Formats: sequence, structure tokens, C-alpha cells
Amino acid sequence: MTLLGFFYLLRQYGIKVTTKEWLDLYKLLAVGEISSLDDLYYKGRKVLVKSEKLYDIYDKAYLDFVQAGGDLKERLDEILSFMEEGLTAKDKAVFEQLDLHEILERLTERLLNQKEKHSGGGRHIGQNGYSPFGNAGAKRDGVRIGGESHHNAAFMVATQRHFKNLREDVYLDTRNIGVALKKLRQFQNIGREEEVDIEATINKTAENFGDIEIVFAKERKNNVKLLLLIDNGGSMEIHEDRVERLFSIAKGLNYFKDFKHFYFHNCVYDFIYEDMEHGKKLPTERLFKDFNPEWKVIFIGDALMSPYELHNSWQMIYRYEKKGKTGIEWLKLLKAHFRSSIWLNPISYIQWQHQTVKAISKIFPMFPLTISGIEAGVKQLLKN
Amino acid sequence: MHFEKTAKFKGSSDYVASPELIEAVNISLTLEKPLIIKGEPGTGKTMLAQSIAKSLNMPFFIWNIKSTTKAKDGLYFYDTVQRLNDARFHDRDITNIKQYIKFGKLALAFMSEEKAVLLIDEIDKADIEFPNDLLNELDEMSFYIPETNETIRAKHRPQVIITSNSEKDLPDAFLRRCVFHYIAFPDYELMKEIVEVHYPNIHGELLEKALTLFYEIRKIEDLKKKPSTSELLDWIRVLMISNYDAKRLSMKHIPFAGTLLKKEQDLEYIKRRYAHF
Repeated sequence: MTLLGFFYLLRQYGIKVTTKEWLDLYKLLAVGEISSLDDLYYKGRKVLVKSEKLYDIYDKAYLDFVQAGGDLKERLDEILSFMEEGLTAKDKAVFEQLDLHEILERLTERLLNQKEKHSGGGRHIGQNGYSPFGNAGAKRDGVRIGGESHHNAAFMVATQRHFKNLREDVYLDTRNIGVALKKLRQFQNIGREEEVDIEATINKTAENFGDIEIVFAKERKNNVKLLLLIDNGGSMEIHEDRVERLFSIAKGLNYFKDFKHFYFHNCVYDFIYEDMEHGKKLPTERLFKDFNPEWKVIFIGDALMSPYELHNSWQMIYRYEKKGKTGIEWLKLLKAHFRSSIWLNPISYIQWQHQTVKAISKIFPMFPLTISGIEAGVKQLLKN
Repeated sequence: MHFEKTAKFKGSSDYVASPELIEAVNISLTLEKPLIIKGEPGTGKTMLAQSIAKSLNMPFFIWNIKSTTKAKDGLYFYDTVQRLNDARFHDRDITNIKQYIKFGKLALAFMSEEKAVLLIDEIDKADIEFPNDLLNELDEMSFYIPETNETIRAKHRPQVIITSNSEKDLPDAFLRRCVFHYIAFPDYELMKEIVEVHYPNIHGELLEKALTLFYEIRKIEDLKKKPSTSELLDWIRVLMISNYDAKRLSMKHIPFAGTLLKKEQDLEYIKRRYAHF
């Protein structure tokens, strides 16, 4: 596998290395900072991997790369040797004329076009060419060939997979959720009440040499009130981490005019819970009284249940009495009460064919509990 | 291409950097990119920048970030109130607005006559958008002051060191422009050195037993908060003061466990799992 293969391997593994970052690696090669596979591991990590959560994935990709094929060593030696040979006079002339930006841009272009190893000629990155790429600058600093490493051998380190514990669900990370939720905003600009912008007033007044000029600013506060209704049923346990993260971020953002949350079990019945563990509950009716239709509602649940749990009432299920509203009736009432509501579902799309998931997604616009799902859901919430 | 021979950082007399860290610094010097250092508190992140400045003999600026810090704070502040005051009391000629422009740390690093080291300390404390607001200035190495119609351009691209405790994740666009290094938790040998620096008189047996137990506790996956260096140091101090018999230390018997484990659940967990406290 070629060095460029490593780039694609990393991307395949989900480390979204950009061309710019890859060029940083080439720059390090060019100045002779990387002269062994160990250097490649340690120094490559510093310019290509920007989160310790990805270190474990990087270890795996590196192992794959090293184990990929016998020609790897040769390939690296090849890079090293043409750096060692340095530049010919012709190279130098071409090279001196170009400035760094241009070289990088052209290298990018070549990298994207280059499909196979290339020798000679002036266009591609390869050996014996007068292209400034690949070997540029090598002579200036000299190349440290086979320089000793103060590290443990990278291969051994990678095999030990030290960073396994740092790995998280990298796709739904805290920041991404925060950013997605922050789009859930409607700035309050209406009404006659305006507030004094103290800082601007002081500035204006000072600029006027003391003639007081009061600056009014329209209050710009997020007017969104958010109600989270979270399924805490047994089948949700495996999604607990993701749900918890979303919840704690929504709460921690301190971004909404008001924020409340309740739990339910499988489906909404006569009661919702403030605290599932201690059974602190209140009648679902209260939602209609205490929360006006302005509240934006996000349900989080897998919507997976036995059909009778959706189409029967709580009393029917647990007390065998034929009375009370059924789960689906409750959901329809909630949908009718609130002007905008969505359902975020943590299970994979394939399972959305399930009968109860289908039924519920007919009531609430349903989105997957992923970053793009949350983003789409937020857009939906702001529509109405 | 202008890959000049950049000065190399080798660590300074009062700061012992790991080879990997030195390497990270040198890569960022070579690539002229900011270096992000992430790691648990107490791993010496802040000290590093100081040490680079010292060993390479460069001017040093620290920009401490707080939750209220805005990107503009690093550039400049127009002190209109001072100007008003001067106007009222005729202290100074107020026609020159330049004298009321107070520069922030980023600007000072830009304006330094020699290449400077700028430490942006605990960047994750600021608002989630803060790093993005810095992108332009860090890319262009210049900024514009409308009040005086001036553009401040960096004479030398400062070496920027950024530390983060990972309270918030940093934006991708920002990370792409930086070299990243994660300081791993010190291993047994390094930790031994660290403890010995703090308590030179510690009894060898106590040190070994305590460290072994400490790493054993850290291995427990289910802990909500694993003890870190500062907790270890506190704990060892208590053990030393109380003249604790090192032979009795074991998973079943963790004295002053509250010093190591700060979460009630964790204490409970260990109690249940290893019984007879």
C-alpha cells in the first residue's frame, strides 16, 4: 500500500483527514521530520488526528496500513531515497520560482489526480521528475535517515491500543449536539419593551463628550420553550447513553427561555413521570394546563412496543379494566395541543417498519437520533 | 518553498517535557501552526508554553480564557470612558484616538518585534463559537481597527499554544488548522517521578504500594470519576501524615478513600465490589 493509501484508509475508518492536513504530513516528509514508520505513526497522528477519541481508530488504521503489504517498506524507502538524493539543479530552479501556496495548491490537484506510482516526467509526484512535489526542500535541512527513535516502537504501541477507553460515540459528540440544538432559537424582537444597552450608551455618551445618549436595543433573547418527553422503557436501555447526552446538553446549554422534561414508559398514558426512579408522577392532563401551545416538544423514544400497548389504555394493560384513553389517543391529543412537536428515534431506519413505529410516525414527524436527524428535527420545529 | 531551519525546542531546565511533547512543539514550529495541547488537569499544559518561550528566548504572552471572553478581547478595546475623562479634565490631547486603543494579548503577540509565544489558556472555557471567531485572525495574522482606520499585521507569526481541558469539544474547522497533541495520563514510572518531586522524603515502600493501588483503582471501568494526579498527591500526603502502614494497603482496604474518590457512587461501588472496607 502506498502512503496515499494510508490517507484513504484513515478516511475509510472515519477519521476525516482533509487534504490540507495531509499536506502537512508531506511538509513534514519534505523537511525530513519523518524518516521511519515510527515517525509516521507519532508525527502523523499529531497532524492528522485532532481528537484523542480517534486515537484508537488511528491505531487500528495504522496497523492495517503496516500489515497491508510487503511493498510498504519499499515505498517508504523510496520516498526517503529520493529525498536523500535531493534536488537536481533543474529541480531547484523550478522549485525556487514557485511559492509555497502555489506548490500546495498544485500538489493538492496532483494528489487528487494521481492514481498510480509514477516515475519520470514533470507532472506527477514521483521519482526522478522535476516536479517539485514530494521531494521539495529535502536538501535544505538534510534528511535524517533511520534516525533513532526515543519512542517505543510504534507498531507495538498501536497493537496495545492504549486509547481504547478514550473512544466515544464519535459521531454524536457533545459539541455537535450543542451546535444542532442551538439552532432551535427564535429571537424575541416584538413588543414595545426595549431595554437600555448600557455598554453602547456609555460608549455613545463618551464619544459625544458627555452629552448623554441613551441607546436602546431590542431585547434579543431566545424565546423558545422546550419540553422533552423521554421514553424510559426497557427497550430504551441500550440507547441510554445517547439520550442522556442529548438531555444533559439541552439542559446545560442554558439557552432556552424555559426547559422542562418528563419521562414516560413505552408510551404516554394517564401519568408522566418527573423522576422515574422514585415514581414521582403527575397526571398527563397537567401538560395541557401547565404548558401552552407555544412550547416546542421533542419526544425521544424508540416507539417500539406491542401493538396493544399503543392501542389499549393503561388500565386495560395493567388493570384489565375497559376504560381510560389509549396510548395513541394520548399522543394524538398532545400533537393537537402543541403547535410544533417532533419525535427523535434512536433505533436504526430498518426497524422503522415496525407497526407501532409506523403508527407513531404518522402522528409526529419522526427523525433519527443522529446529528443530521436532530438538525432536521430542529428545522421542523421552527417551521410552525 | 521556505522551509527555513526553525529553532528547535528541547525542553528547558525547569520543565521536563516528554519526547512526544517536544516533538509536537517542533512540528508546530516547523509547520507554523498553532499547537493544541489537551489532557487532564495537572499534566503541565500551561507550563509548556512558558518553557518554550524561555528555552527559545522568545517574548511570552498569556491570554487566559474565561466563560465571558470574546474573540475581540484578544485584539483591542477602545477606551471611550478614559477619553471622555481626559476631555473633561483637559488632561491630554484627545484628538489622537490611537492612545485610547488598548491592545489585547493576541494583538500584542502580533506586534512583538521578535517572534513571540502566545499561550491561549483553557480555550474550552469560552463560548462554543469562540474558536471559530478567532479563525480569521489566526489565518490572516492581521486585523482591522475601524476607529483608527488601521490594520495591525503580525511582524512575525507568533507561535500559538492552546490548552484545553476538553470541557467542550472544539470545532473541526479550528482543529484542522492546528497540530494536536493529547497528553496521556502519566504511567507508573513517570508518576513515581512526579510524586517524588512533591514529596522527596517519601518512604519507598509506601510510594510503591500506594501507586500500585492507585493504578488498580484507575483500571476499574465503572468509575464515574477516576482519580487523577492531584487526588493521588492529596491521598499520599494523608497517608504520610497519618504514618500509615504501607503493608495494609489493598483493594479491600483503601484508607481515606474519600480523598481519592470524589463521587459517592464510586465509593459505594468499590465498597460493594470489594467488601469489608
